[in-house]
Amino acid sequence: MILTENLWFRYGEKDILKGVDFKAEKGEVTVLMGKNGAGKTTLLKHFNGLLRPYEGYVSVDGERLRYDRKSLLKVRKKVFYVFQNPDDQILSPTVWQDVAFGPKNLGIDGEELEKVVEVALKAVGLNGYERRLCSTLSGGEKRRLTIASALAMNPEYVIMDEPSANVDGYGFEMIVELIKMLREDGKGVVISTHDLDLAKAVGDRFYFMDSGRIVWEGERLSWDMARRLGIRTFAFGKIVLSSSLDGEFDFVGVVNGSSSGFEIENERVMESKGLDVVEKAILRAIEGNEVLLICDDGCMRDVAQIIERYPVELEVRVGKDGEVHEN
Amino acid sequence: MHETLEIVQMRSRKIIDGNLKVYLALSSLFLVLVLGKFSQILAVVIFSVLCIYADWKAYLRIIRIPAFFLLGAMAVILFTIDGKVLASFWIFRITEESTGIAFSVLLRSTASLSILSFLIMTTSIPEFITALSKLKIPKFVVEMLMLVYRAIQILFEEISRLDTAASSRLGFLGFRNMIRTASLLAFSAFMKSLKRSEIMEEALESRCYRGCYPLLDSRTEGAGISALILSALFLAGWFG
Repeated sequence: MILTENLWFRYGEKDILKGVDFKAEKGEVTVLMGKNGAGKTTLLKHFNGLLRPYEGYVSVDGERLRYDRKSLLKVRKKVFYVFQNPDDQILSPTVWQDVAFGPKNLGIDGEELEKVVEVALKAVGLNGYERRLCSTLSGGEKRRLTIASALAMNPEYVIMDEPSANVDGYGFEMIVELIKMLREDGKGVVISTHDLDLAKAVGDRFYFMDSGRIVWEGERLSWDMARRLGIRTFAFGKIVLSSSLDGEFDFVGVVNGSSSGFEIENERVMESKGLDVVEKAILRAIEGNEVLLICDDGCMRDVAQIIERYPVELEVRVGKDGEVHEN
Repeated sequence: MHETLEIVQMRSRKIIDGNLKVYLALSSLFLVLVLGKFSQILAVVIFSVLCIYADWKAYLRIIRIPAFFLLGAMAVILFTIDGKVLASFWIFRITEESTGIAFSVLLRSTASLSILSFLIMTTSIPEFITALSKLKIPKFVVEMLMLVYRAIQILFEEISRLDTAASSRLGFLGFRNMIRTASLLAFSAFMKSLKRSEIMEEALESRCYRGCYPLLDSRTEGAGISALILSALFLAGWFG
């Protein structure tokens, strides 16, 4: 486990981190979110000793970080830091050399080195690129190369600073798969991102930072909350979950029942039963509509969990008064 | 996309590959410098053919600029050396000695140019450094060469971005603008390279750098052809 306690860091006179308490477990993806300048990158750079706090401490697997050369080397074998800009991390002219860079410095050589590099390149889909010059790779390929370099070191924790920055849809999917693969291998992954899609796709635990402090942590993330905390989101439409018919909506659907019990005047009733209607409601909301889903209190939580994964605003009304209890 | 020399090196067809092509080029260069004109003529023919086979369009692009300087230098030699006059017009005189020296310099330069064109068209810098490292060049020199080359790659990308930004804002419109923009670009490139050096240090530390730089080994091909070329150059020089 990576743990920080009461971490303080300053550049010059300005405090960048102000007493940060943070925890990242092995086998989990911990997502760090926050506005630009919130201190995310600064915090991440503490995990493998690239930066040193003036107060508080970092510990990795129960061992408090020390900053002598030998201890730093030890922690950097365990904790691999993937830079935000791939060009910052790529140190060698060719793909093969860059993946081999870390293992070679750890003393791996000969056939074992060949094998390690081959496996790492294959995992990120860059096999066949060994002799390519890094300067001729695309942005997405460079990103994959940086992850291959991490895999080749076989660290226990991988820290990724905005891994989905400057990648297209295909690159994004590849990164999601790689992060999931790292988690399945039992590695602890910490990512900082502005990308809510990425956070929702891979995150197990979420932290929000603002002005050098952790302002929220939890295991569930909703679009609405992210927006309130200044994360870039695209909420296309809105779904209201309620046990009663109240207000005007573009579409109305009923989960677990039929519309016959309600006096619905317009003709925009989505005639489906069970979860099919939830799917239809999400599609309608993504198109930009306001949709009311009527369901009883028993299934409301499950339905809300499904909807939260999609880029739509969600409002849950519980009780006869239609009071908003949860967003 | 603009085709850089790196792309040419990657895509060119190679009869001779691996470290061998570097050793062949360096040995041939030595032979044409110490042996006579027949070996030089032969070197021009052989290495031009190899370059044309590798990528003829790129070859023409590469030799265009040095050829321009070479011809200029020939003209200067042709018209400035005293001796027995062969022809003259206005203030210019061509002498027997000047034609001899110009021809000799032209031949030697063209042979060297052909060999170096072959080398730069088929060999990337990492391959070149790997080949040199096999010649027992000190480790720290190899590391420095690799890091400097990587830094140059990044700096070129940065400069290309800066250049595009300046062009898109009409930074090169007119002579005065061009001078001002060029000085701004130079300053920005310098600042970026300083910043880059700090980041590179961080990356080296982060990736457990302890003075080891992996070298790219490649399969050697064309040993027979290389031996044939070197023998031909040597014999041509010896008996010519």
